[in-house]
Amino acid sequence: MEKNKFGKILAVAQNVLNECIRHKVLNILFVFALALIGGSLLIEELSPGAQGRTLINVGYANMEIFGFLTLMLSIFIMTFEEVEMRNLWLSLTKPISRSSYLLGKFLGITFVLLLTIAVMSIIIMGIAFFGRISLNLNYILIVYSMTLGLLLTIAFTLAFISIATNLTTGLIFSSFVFLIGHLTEHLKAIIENPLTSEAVKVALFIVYYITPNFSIFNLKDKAYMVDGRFDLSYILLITLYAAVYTFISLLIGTRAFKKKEL
Amino acid sequence: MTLKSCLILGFSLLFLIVTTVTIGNSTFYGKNFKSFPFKESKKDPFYVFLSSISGFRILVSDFLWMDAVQYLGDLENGKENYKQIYPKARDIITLDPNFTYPYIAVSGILFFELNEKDKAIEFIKYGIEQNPNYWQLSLYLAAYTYSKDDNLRMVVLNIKSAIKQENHPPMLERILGSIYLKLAKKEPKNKDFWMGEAIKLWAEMYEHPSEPENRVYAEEKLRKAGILKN
Repeated sequence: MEKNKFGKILAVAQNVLNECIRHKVLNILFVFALALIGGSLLIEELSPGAQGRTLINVGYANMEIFGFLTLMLSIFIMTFEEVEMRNLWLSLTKPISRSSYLLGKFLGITFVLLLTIAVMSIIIMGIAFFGRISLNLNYILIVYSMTLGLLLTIAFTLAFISIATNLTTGLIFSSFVFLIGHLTEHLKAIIENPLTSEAVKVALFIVYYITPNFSIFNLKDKAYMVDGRFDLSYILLITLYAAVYTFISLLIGTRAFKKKEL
Repeated sequence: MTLKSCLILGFSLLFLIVTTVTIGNSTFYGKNFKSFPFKESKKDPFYVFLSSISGFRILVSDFLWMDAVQYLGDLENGKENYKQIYPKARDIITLDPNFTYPYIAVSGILFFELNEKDKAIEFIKYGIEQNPNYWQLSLYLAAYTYSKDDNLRMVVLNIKSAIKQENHPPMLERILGSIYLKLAKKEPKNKDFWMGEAIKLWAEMYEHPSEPENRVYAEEKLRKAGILKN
């Protein structure tokens, strides 16, 4: 690793974070808070007997949706400014390699995401506290697994943008992968179905093994199936899974970004 | 055509195939659950499938519960004797079999309000099967079986299963003791057996009381039975 490389990555990351704050990406949190607090008042009335559970489930869903929106918005803003406003040319005139730049961008967007998730978690905890809803360790594990899934989304979105000819194509592709990634658990059942034709099986087989399996990060749909808390070995396994996929995505992304004509 | 364009085209085609095939095979999800909820499920299995793949299965079941509550709140639906409540409840538990409140609420409505006792019992039994550690369901089943055909043996069975759970209310143990006494009176042939069961229960309550009141109660009963002496 070249000297001071990590410092350069951090500098890019800090710049990304500052830019996202400057562009008011974090305003999304106000919408989140409003949706959740407003929703909690409605749920109180509409869901007798299951208010606490519904409120927390709405919180999880909002957290995932708003987290996804935050990262997509951050990537869009950053990449748009780089390409359309030629900011990237200015950055790359400095002694910084393209791979460091991409890694810095990944780290910066990760910071934005973590900040957003942290604030959203606190809002949910506040609502749970005032609503006298008990949250256990599962809450932290669900948020953690959700964050892993979103981190992986950042990595492959950056990889797609580096490969794709333009920003919109990259974002659309990554959204596709995000959607297909949630399907993978069900794809296996379709592959095993004897009625599925061979050609389709092959196509699905490729998709099944190439796209990341996002359903493994979806602990919120399994929360009521466990007594006590989630198995820690499973949490370690999904952490490893996310780390490997993120590494591969970033590797592909940096290779593509190095060769990309700007 | 460049390699990149070919890749993009290929990926789009693959996505199209995956979507088509997945939608076409949506019933497989239903097949996995066909044993109970799908027989009379009101919603199409595709609806269930979609909520599952979107990653918001539990949330959709919460929304369906809200819908069911609104249905019950509308007096107009009373004219048709709230006949849709059962299929609605089945939809909810299809999505989340561990959502315990609909089992209690809907079985209660079916049993006491709509006089569909067998349906209510079948529904709560399914709930117990899915949530064996949730003692309230066993208690409700005990109440239904007693109310339906005065079946005290079933009540005993269900209360015994409820008090096995750590968080059961201590009062249940005292109720079980009273039911043993009632059974001893009701079945003179098995009087010794039921009295033996009652004494075993009180001895356990006396030795390991789940609350101080239970120990006092057990002590009093054991003295009355002549087991404990001054």
